[in-house]
Amino acid sequence: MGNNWEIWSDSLIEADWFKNLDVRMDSAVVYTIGQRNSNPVHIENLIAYDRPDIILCDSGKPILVVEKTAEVPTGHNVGQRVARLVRSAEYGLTTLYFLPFEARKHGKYSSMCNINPRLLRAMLKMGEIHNCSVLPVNWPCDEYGELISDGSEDTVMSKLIRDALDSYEATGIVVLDDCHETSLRLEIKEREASFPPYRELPNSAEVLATRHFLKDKQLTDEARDHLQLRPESLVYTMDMSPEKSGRQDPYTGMQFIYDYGWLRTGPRPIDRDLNLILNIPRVDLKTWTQKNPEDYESKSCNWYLTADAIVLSDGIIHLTDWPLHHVD
Amino acid sequence: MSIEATVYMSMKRYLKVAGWHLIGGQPPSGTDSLPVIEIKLNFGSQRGSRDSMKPDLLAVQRDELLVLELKPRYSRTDHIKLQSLLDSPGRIEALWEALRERNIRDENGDVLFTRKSKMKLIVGLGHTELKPPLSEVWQFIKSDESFLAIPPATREH
Repeated sequence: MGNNWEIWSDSLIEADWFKNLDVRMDSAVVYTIGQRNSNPVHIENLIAYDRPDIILCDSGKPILVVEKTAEVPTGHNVGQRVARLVRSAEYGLTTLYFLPFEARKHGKYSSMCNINPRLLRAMLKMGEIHNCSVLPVNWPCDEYGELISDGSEDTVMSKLIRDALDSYEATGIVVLDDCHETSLRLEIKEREASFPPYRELPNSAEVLATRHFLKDKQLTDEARDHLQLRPESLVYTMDMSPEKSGRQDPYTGMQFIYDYGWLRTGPRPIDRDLNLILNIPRVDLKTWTQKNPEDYESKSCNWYLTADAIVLSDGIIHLTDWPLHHVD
Repeated sequence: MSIEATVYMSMKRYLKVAGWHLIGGQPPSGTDSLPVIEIKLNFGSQRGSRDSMKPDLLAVQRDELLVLELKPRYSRTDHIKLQSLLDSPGRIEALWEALRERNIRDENGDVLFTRKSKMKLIVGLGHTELKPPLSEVWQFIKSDESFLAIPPATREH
């Protein structure tokens, strides 16, 4: 079977790393992911929310997405990169996220950081809902918490890529063994047992009675009636100031973690039993729409990808359709 | 793909072939396997990455530590940055401290940087532009897949 492998990437360094994971990639042609609207449609689709590190295609058909980072996802790092995983899952693609599950943070208050299990929970659910594998792959560290960088850190990734390519060459689709989901479930269970608060939503994301939450909010009767069709809402409150409200990370990634981890029952944003409400009490509607317009040509669109409403200090943006959303 | 990334990758290959052990670096884009070494102006400060220097590549050979800044063309900014590192005992100590903190090991698994280790610091610029020798700073001029190493005009430090 002759494959025409294409590696689409932002970074020559990451493309080179990926090429070295499997000998079959020797023949792959590396392409740079360009600015929006400058790429083939199959690449544009996958970068509509955000740009993944690697998109592997065969003759113009995406088959695999890979994300790589040396950052441990704690604090503000947790939500970063999640939107690109969601996008890949929406297209039913096997998605691998190579990252440290634990590593040392350096500086005056040096300490070990551990992966936030809420991210793992959301990734597992993404895979289940979109019928594909969305797997974290651990970048191991040594006993001091320093990331391994002698090449052995890629062993597991190499095996996964080999399995992925084997399955693709045999069947025309990438299917990974169910044991990886089983391992992920176990990883989540163990980490939640070690850090019990992470089994639940954080304080910034509360489940509230929809009617009560909306009681003193300024919104149309139509929006109020529509939102109240769901008696409960997950309200994710972000304490950002007006001056610093023109940003997405990490908030828009966190909305997906709460959505997939706790709310989603199906592949479409409408598939949930509770509303997902983004609550930004210190920013007014005018400032918000200036700084974060509903512009599907820019990353500010990430605010409008899945939530039912964005509640601001003097009004709300009620969302009833999500035009970029894709059901494979 | 950017020329800067090409210079970075070519330099990594060149140093390996020349017997250097790569111990740190920060690629111009994306994530590499090497740890990012941050030299803080004021070590212990909690001011994030402000006033810090993250060299593009760091490599060790015998008792020498090479700190490199890479660009497609000669960069005066990088030259000043390296010169300021050499001229600042505080920064040099912050560099050694950052390396000690990382428990960086050699190919045999031995920790490279301890309070007792004595290593000579040398700095260099990697680029594609042929320039006359610079005071105290090595230059590595990229030509095809290799580099021409130009020693400093004076190496005393």
